[in-house]
Amino acid sequence: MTNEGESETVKWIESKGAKYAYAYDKGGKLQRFFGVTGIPAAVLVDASGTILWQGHPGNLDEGLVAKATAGALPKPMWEWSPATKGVKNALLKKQYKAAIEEAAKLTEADGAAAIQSAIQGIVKSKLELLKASYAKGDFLGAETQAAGLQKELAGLPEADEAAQVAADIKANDKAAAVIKAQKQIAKIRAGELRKKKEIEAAIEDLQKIQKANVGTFAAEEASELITRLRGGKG
Amino acid sequence: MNLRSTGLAALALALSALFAEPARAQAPGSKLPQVELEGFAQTGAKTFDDFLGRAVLIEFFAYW
Repeated sequence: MTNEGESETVKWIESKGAKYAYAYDKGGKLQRFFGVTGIPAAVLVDASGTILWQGHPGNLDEGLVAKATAGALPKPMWEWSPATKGVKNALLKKQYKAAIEEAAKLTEADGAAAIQSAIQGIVKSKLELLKASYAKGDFLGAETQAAGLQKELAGLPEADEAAQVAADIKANDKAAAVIKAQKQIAKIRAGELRKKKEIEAAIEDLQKIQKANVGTFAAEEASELITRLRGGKG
Repeated sequence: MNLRSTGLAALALALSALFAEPARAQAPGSKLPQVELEGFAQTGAKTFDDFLGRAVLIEFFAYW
């Protein structure tokens, strides 16, 4: 595998005549997030930033592409007309009410309908994701998303739906314990476990969490991390 | 397939190394984290945020 710098990559791209957009995942942060250990590997993300699929690029199904692109903007942001500056700024700041208001000022020549529809799609998808997290018992994920969405959607009716999920989490008598366990798991996951003893201790802690939270999302997360720490073997 | 007309953006990511850590694929429905990529080329995008509102097919690549 290569450890070449950018200049070598540019030469290689040019020699292949590749025309696609590319960038560098320095430090391999995104690669680690997706657990990519071999290539080719690809990931499909929809317009709201939700991961739809991950796998060998040759196995990508056209139906999934259609799902990913439903409601997506036909033109990338950098090709929008200068009149869309206000929308772009609001979107990049994740201020969706302002984005919707700015989009309402656009004309059809600026792509008003597509932009408005895409913003509504992003808002809808974010709420769906929040509700799905809550429904599967990922209370920590739902709590984090609900807090973020209440700010991002402030002034829109959808903010009330996010607030309702936050209230449901608080009212759920099982949620606090699951959130506490999920935070413990997250701390273990974030740890730099190098030595065998450290890994064994982490697995022991995870097994305790698993046992104390049987049937919950925290137990599932603990199980997944145990498998990972054991080297991907069940 | 004409990617532009479908609203799908394709982005290849150059890797500097392949890690030997156990694979842990993300479950469909998970959220993409804050993505920090560098050196965008052959695109008008300057950061990953510029792809907001677009579906993106990310392909990891390296060369020998």
